[in-house]
Amino acid sequence: MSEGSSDTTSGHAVGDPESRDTHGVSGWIRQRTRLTEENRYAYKLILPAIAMMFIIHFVPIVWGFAISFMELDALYIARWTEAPFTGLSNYTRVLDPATIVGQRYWFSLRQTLIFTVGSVGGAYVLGLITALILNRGFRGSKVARTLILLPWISPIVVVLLTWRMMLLSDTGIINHLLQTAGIIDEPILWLLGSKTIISVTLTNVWIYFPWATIMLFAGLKSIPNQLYEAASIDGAGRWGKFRYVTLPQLKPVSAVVVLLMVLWSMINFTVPFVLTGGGSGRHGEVLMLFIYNYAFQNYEFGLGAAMSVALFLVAMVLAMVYYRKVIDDSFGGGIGG
Amino acid sequence: MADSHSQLDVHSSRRSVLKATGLTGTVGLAGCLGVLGDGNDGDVTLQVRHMDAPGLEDQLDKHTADFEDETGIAVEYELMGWGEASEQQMASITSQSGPDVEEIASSWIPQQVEAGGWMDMQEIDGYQELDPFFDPVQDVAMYDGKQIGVPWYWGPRGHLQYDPLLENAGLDGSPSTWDELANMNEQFQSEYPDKNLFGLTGVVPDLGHHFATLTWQNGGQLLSDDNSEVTFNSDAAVEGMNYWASLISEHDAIPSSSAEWGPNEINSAFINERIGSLWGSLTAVERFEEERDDVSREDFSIHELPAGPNGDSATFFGLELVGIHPWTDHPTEAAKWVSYLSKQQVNGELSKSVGFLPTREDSFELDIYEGHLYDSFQEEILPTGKTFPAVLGWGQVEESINNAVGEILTSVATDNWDESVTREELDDAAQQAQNALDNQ
Repeated sequence: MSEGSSDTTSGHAVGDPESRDTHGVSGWIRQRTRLTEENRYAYKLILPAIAMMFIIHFVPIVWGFAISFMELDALYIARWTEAPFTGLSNYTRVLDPATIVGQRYWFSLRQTLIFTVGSVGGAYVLGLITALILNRGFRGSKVARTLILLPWISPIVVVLLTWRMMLLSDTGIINHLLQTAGIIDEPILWLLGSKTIISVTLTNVWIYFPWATIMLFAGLKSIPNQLYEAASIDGAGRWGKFRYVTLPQLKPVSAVVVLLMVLWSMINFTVPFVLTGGGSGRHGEVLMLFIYNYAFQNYEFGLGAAMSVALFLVAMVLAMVYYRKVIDDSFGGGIGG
Repeated sequence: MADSHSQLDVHSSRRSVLKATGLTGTVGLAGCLGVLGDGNDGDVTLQVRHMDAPGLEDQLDKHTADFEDETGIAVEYELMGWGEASEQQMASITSQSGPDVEEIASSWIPQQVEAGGWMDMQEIDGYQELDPFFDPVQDVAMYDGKQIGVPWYWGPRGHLQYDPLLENAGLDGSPSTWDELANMNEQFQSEYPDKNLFGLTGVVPDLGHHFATLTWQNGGQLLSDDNSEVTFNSDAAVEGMNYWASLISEHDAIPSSSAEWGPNEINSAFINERIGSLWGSLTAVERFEEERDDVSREDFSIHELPAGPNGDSATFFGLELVGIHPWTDHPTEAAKWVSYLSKQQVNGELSKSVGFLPTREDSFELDIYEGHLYDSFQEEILPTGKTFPAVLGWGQVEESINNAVGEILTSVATDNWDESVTREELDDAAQQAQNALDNQ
């Protein structure tokens, strides 16, 4: 066994003063050099993956950012190097509520926030309730666990078209049931006007809650039983155990679930697009749909990129705030920490 | 030791030189053969791409084989879904690579031509001229003085009726004016209080198509003649939109739920006899026949669309063309394939297989187009066909129209509509569209 291996297995960290005492400064330098070589070798091994990541993720992001400052439209798309640099004019058009594009951008952003908050809140609460029920281990809970995944694993377009059929005001089963039960007299137009965003959000909750259930269920399974026993000894009831044991213990997994669902909801395109049949008004138009309809259908790539960058910044700020406020607390210094 | 190293180096460098020479020779020879092949039709393989449609694959198998027998030029085809067609074509145009010949959707022509996506066919020897085609589609094939393709198939909408339902209500014929449509509904609903005489879809892109149709029927235009001014908020257009709204809110000729309808929903309403008529293509009849064993083609009639108080009958059509990309290495062979697709028989068969109508007038003489529905289309409806203006920035104009009409219909369906809503929405949309045009 080599010297280096011996040191590593002895449990002394690199740069550890104890190691330095044992081997002297020259030994420590050799060890540093050797480990640097190991690191270099490790870097070589991961280089192909980093290169792929660079090409697949980093280049399009940089490209998108760059063209957001250019007038890249149908005239210039085949000779993009000649596209005029327009500075911040695309951003000015998009972010100024006095312009028509800006007015619609902000409206779509509002719809996106309603959609995101509603989707995340709904899916999380429904997922948590379902996970708690599954965690009680009733007869048939394993089958239920599998069935609960159906909305998540079914082909999304099929799910959405089925929801569209159910939500149609004249032939949909939802209005039929509500009318039969005497809850409503007149059919509700679920896919028109201000109710569109509610329908889109509820459908999204239905699609995402199984994923939240499984994640939270896994979190529940990892909570040590002793904590509940200790809480019982301290006189905690059901609510007390949930409030002071379950919820705090679920905080790390909840933090990840919420973060991912926020990001997925903010960039969701398929649900509003299919459910509204491509759009029958601006009420169901979340930002991704607006960007697609307005910019990319019209070959306004520069403008579309500016809209996307603005959305990216909103999502990034939200994620950073969330990371700082929730994830760092939950994981004690970040997920890696 | 040093000597053996240097010997090895010499050997390996010789091997490297030999390898490099061999590789260069092989590549060079392959390149020369490729160049030689260009001049010989027998060695040319054209790459073509079309939007997928039921039955198209079989037709393309047949016709590519026939074309190869006839000319010695092989054709390899690729089908793409409508959903990804725009992105795929844009990717090809951006990279200036991809198929030699491709289908063109009429509404994308200005952007794609400006982006350098299509050849002017007039520059190619033996190109297919436009004489055999219907007049309205000839205009679409020309953009900025260039012939960017050859019309392939089109889908004008007719006023389509399920006659047994109307006959039971004592109705005969079809409405020739807007007022007649409203009046016929009164008689229809005296027999069928829970049904509606008519239906129109309420989702994109149909919103703009119906709005344009009503505007034209009332003598209005969407843009000025030189395409520089937005005119879709003119009195004629506003009146057209108000008529649509009144058919829902005042006359109950169209169900208010139609504001949610896409193609599937309107077909379902038609097949289930919740509505007695619609503006559509023959596809609606075919769907009806597939779903119902108790009907035959004789139960349907197709008529020209009604005229508004200030205009004549008009209908919207979408058109598919076939064009040649400028990056092709085989323009002459590509032009031969396009000419082959334009033959009377081929144009007729391919159009029929995708459920639309041929763009050549004489294709209607083929046996496959026998029947009263095709006669009505050819004689009554096709001459009234109009389509959107071909102008850069049209996509944004259309988006503004769709958005405004969607809002108006929403307010109608939710009982929040009056005529001022129409005026306000169309004025706002017109301003937005004008900005878009001015920015081009």
